[in-house]
Amino acid sequence: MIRPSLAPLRRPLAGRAALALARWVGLYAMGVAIVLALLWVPWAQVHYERHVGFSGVACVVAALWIAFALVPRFSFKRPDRAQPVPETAHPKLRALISDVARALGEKEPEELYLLADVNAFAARRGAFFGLGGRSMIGIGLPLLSALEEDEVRAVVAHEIGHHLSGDVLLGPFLHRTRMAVAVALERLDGSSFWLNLPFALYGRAFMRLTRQVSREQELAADAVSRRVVGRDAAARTLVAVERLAPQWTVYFRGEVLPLVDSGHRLPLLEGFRRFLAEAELRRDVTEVLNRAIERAPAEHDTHPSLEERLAALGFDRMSRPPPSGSALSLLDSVARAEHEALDVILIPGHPPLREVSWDDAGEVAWLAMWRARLAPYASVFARSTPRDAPSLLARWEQLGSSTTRGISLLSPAAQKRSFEDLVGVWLATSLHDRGFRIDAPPGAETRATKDGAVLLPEALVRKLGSGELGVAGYVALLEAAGV
Amino acid sequence: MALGRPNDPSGILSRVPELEPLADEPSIRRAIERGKPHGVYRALFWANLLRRTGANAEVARTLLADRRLFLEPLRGAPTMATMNGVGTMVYGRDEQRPDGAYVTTLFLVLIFVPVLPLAAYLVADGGGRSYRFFGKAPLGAFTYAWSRLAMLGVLGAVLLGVGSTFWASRHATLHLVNGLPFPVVARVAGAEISVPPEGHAQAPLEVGTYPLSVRTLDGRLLEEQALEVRAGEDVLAFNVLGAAPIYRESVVYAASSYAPPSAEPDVGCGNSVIHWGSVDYAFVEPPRSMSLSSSHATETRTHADVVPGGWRICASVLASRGRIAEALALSTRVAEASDFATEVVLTALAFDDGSAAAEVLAMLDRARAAHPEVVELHRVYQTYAIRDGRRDEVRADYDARALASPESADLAYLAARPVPGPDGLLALEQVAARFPEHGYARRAHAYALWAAGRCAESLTAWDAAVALDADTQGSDAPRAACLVRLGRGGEALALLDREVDETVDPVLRTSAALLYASAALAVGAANPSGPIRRIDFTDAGPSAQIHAMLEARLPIEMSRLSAFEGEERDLLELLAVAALDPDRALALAEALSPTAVRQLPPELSTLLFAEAVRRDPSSVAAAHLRAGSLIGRVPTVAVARFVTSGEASIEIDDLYPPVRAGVWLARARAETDPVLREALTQRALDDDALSQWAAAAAGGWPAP
Repeated sequence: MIRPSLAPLRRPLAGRAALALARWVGLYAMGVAIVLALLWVPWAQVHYERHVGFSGVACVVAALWIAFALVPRFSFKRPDRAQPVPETAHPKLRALISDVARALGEKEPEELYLLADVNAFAARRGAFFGLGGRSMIGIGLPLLSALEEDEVRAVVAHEIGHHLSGDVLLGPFLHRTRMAVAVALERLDGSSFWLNLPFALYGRAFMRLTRQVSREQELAADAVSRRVVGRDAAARTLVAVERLAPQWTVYFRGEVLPLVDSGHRLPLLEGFRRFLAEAELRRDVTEVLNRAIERAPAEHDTHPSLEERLAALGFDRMSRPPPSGSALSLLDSVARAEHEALDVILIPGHPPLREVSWDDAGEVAWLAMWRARLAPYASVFARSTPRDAPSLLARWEQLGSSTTRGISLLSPAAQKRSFEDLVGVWLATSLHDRGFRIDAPPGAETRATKDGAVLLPEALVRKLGSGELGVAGYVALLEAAGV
Repeated sequence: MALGRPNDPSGILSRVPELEPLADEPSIRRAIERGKPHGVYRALFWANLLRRTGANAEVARTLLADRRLFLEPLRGAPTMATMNGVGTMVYGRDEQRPDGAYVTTLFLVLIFVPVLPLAAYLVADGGGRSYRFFGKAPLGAFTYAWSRLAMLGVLGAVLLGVGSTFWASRHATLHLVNGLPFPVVARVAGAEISVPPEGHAQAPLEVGTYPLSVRTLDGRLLEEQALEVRAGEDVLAFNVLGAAPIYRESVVYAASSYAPPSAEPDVGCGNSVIHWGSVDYAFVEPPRSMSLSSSHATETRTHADVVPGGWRICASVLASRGRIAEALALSTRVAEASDFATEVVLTALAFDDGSAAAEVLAMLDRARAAHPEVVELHRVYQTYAIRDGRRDEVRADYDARALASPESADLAYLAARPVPGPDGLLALEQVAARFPEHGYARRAHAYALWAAGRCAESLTAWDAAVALDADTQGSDAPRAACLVRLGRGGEALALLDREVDETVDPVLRTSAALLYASAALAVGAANPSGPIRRIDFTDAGPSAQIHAMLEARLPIEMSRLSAFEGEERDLLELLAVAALDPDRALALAEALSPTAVRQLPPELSTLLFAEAVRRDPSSVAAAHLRAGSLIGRVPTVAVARFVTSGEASIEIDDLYPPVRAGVWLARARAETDPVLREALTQRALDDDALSQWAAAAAGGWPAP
């Protein structure tokens, strides 16, 4: 078996490690040099001038400050609640991983993890500076849900590529050093005397170097992926993951987490499929997604941009046709996998979650949450009917402050938006009180339906607030829906 | 062109969506993308000030008026504590909203007066004097400017201090100290520094090694050395020729009940380059008092400075510490540096202990060669050469000079002066007659007449000499002795009393007072100590008055000697017993160093030396007194020979009569022939008419 080339890696592992270590040591060497230079001042004042002046005292203070900021903090690793998938579970997925590892001449990872994220990882657990421990691979459930099997194979190959190139050995060290530098810079940041400047410059150079190393590692892993599944599949996978990641983030944070937070458990992957299939996403969701898509590559990104990665695979661009299926068949039980992946993020000892279907999410979960949210402001909405929404919005400045809990840190526009949200959920509950059924499909506008009439309460309020919809039009819509 | 929504790691756009259109301004955009709300506020502030907010100017102003929108999370509870009005406190209540929260500013305070704004916080009253802190707000425009300016000021002060320290680490101040009686110019590191006579100048120098040269104003090189400049030393001094009395002393501050041990200061006399570390007060007066903490009975500081008085003080200090050779070497260097100024040469001779006769003579030879017109230099040269046994050589030299310039009164006088005995008196008589206006000749003639015992003629000759020069020095003793010898003791006392009153020089004044006391004792006058008591000895040291009283053989309470110890006490006791108890005096002399012996009056030290030789020439006392003899090597040998064998010599005839009296007395005590003994004793009494030591010993010492 010929081991695949890791061409994008310009430096061998030892070289990368040594360079990172040298930069890390360099930071502290610079810090020690600056501290010593500062401490030289009072020493020199005693030695040469026989007294310590104001500048000497100030230099001691500055030296202590820098020394305190630079002292490495050793934090004990919190026990990882994630548990590896039992060795007997998901044999098909294991077989795929084993197959890829074998194709690459690499040992099959000893532990398998399933995540509630559009992500995958390779690592070693229990290793000391990369030595010993158990090799791990983690795959996000959404990837299994949204990718085809050869694309999953590409993801697995990419991660095993990290094992192959030794990245998993270097990764924790790089991570810790990056964290050490970041923490030191954070502590030094905001110095009134610009003491942080040399460290900020050094830190920027350090981050640039480690980021470069990280990006090279990613490109090398992509190359491994290409070798296993071919360049088309490897490129398609990158495109798919690039697109899925923000979608999952928006879905998971905006739809799943609030429901989990209110004590409900919903089928994760089914919701995600509905979210992806939703023809008309809510405006706020669209905005966030667009923002993520438009987001320019940031300086601190550890991964190369999609364009760079595609270029490395020999493509200028790549479009991905709609997938013909998913790789969920690799799992024994999707429900159990979802359970296990979600349990990782739950606080130990949390009350049991109530199983709810996405069809009942509006009626069962969201309405309860909205009513709880509106309860403190009952006086604001007392005796108001859905027809009063325009007048409530017209008085947002007056009512807005009375619907703020604690101190307000919002600007007028944000406060107005917040009040509109509140009126939106009030309208939904008000319509529900009038016999409407409330549906809240993931990513879509909340829908109130009754006898064939459909109202979008939150959307209506937003349109009223922005002037897109007049009072007369609003009233006409209500009347048409029998309100 | 709209740039799209910026990355917003701090989520400020969610809290302040109005910033989104303002983010077209690049500085605001960058600030948002850095995730620092305070930075966003600052960028917005500058954009507004520089009118870069375009159509959103009004929005920007509204946002700037509400700092809580730019809140950053607290990293920790702010410290608010004061001690005696110094510490940190919050002041102000800005931008209060109906929710009760407001922005306040944390200040560094001095006496509760805000000095430096440190940070602003969004707070609410927590009841009493407590606050609930919600986050850190940006400083307002005024407090921000105040803070920045103060920080810049502090930073500037710190940088200045650091710069000054760095400078101090690379430089040292060179103190140029001149103990010479004339100005000098030092050249070092390309600079030329003038130093006044017995003065001090200073110059900063960078660390390193420099050639340093010192010259007189007319360009004569006095000294050239490599000077190593090191930082961190409190005193780097260049002591020209080692002549200035630069010193380092410990200053002990103590409670009034505590008597700190006295310690001799370090002196830099004789050393040109001085490196002293750990000096608290360099060339400045230390404070007179210092407040001591209860845990410290004493505080010690170090003080370095220069004693006024120049090289004389330095040579005296060296001599007083027994470093006679160094004192003489220093004096010789100074004399040469002064181009053999007469006064300097004469002062230098005060430090001659006879141990370096050849060097002294060589110096005097160079001095007379440098200034052949100065009679005084020839005189001292002759004296030292004759003491060294070179009388014939001197006579030949000056005879030749006189022959070459027969009209020169100076040379005629100088040729007559070395002639010994009656021939010498005759020669001086002829010169005085030939050159009646020549003061030296007149004075020498008067002195020779006194030494020959011709008092009446001597008095006449002195009158003539004084008429020529009222300031004629050295006439008091001969004139007073002659007056006493001629039974005119009252005139002698009047003369000496007048001298005490009119003489300004403290040494001459004391000398006159001592003569007065001796004369008064000789003639039995009342109050012999009167003139001595009129002299202020404050600056001369604690033992000076007692020393003077004892030297004049005036009675003192012996218990006063217990205030002194060591050699000083031995010296005083010797003076007290010398006229009555030769055994005790010689026993004390055994313990005295040559330096201490030289503090005895020559009349007494010669008397004791002669007596010691009479008893045992190889005794310790004789050796010590010989080593401290002030009459010169050859006369000392002559005295010993005369006392032991009776062999007369011109060296003894040439001795100062009161000194010579002691020699006569010692020889008389050695003499077995009663007639000769009587004659010698009488010669002693004649030579010591003022009843100084020989006359006193003649009456007070027990028979041998």
